[in-house]
Amino acid sequence: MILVLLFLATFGAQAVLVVPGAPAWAGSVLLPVVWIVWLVMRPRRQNPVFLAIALGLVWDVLFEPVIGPGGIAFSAAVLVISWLAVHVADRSPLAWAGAGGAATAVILLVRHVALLPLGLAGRLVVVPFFRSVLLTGGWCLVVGWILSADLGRWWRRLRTRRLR
Amino acid sequence: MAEGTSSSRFRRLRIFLVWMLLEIIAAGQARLKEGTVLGSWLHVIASPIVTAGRSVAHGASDLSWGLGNTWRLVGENARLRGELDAERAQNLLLTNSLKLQREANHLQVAYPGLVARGQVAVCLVRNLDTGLMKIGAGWLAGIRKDAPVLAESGVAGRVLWSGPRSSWVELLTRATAAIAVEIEDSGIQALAAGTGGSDLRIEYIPRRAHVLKAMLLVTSGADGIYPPGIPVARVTKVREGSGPFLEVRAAPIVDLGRIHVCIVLKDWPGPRQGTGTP
Repeated sequence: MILVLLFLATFGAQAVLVVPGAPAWAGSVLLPVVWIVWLVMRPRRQNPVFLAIALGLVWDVLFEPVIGPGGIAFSAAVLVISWLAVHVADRSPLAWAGAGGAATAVILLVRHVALLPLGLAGRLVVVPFFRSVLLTGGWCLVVGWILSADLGRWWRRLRTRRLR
Repeated sequence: MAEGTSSSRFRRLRIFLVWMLLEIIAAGQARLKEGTVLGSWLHVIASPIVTAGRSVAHGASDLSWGLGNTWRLVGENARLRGELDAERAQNLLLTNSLKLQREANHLQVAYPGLVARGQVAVCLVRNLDTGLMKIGAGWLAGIRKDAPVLAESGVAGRVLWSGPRSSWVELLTRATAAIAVEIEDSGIQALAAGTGGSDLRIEYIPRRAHVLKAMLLVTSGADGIYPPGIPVARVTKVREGSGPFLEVRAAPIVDLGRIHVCIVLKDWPGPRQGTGTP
């Protein structure tokens, strides 16, 4: 239940970031990418590719003109990160950041390639590309740090201290 | 291990197929001026196939038309060839007929007084080795045994056997043939006998007779078979032997190897009546 709420919150926040009037760089952050990283980083991985396709299709429904390229891009990102996770046995926040940046790069590239035959692909500009990679990597770094810091335990210890 | 590799390959293939499906779904949604991107893809894919199909259909139609025309041309060609062959055969027959007619005309010119009582006949078979010749006229045309046979320039022989529609002629060079002749200039009587070769042996010319090469021998009529005065041979060789007569050789006037048409004197009173076999 909490996962579903967080999932919906992620897409809701993404929708807020791209509303008119928001800063231009805000749309460069791909918040749902953190779910891609989570699919790979979680201890028991089951069908991450098809879950990533579902995630990408949801992304397409909400933010893309056609449904399909997002599913391809997100699943390709899962494949790449899975390959990286096999070779890099690290689950630290930095690993989350690296995985998020790599996933963002793959998503942007594959989406661009998938949109090319449809005549919908724009120019792939370098600065927004790397800005998106860095910002999304930073977002994943934050999430990874929160998960590694175990905020629940910190909150329980704080309350215990106050009660004394 | 192999099972794992196979499973991994199948998984990759499955993912790839899903990607293709998603791309196709996206192409079905992306719109162009005249339709969707998917429609344009299908058009691009199907257009060469349709064009190729049309080309094949046109080619097959042209081929069928060409084969039909070729078949008709072959038939027409065969028919024209047949007509041409028939025309050639007809032409050959007419040529031969014209040639024979010309020779017959020459015969009429050569023997104006005898042609009216003779029968013009075509030479069918000729064998100079045996000294026999078959002509295309028999007793149905009034040809009788021993009837004289004349060619354009002189005597060719006599009828040896007469059938209903053909007759065998004994050429004068046959070993058993003999003609009563005389030297045209001097009137010396002699006998021209066949040798079985290409010349004649002239017998019974006295040693004192004046005989020279190239003298002409004509029929004397003494044998009762040939009318007198028809050229027979020309002297080619004269030799005085030990006997009482000269040894004289002569070449027939008629080129026996080139006779095509001859005239048979059927009403000549000389020949004896009757038929026989060669």
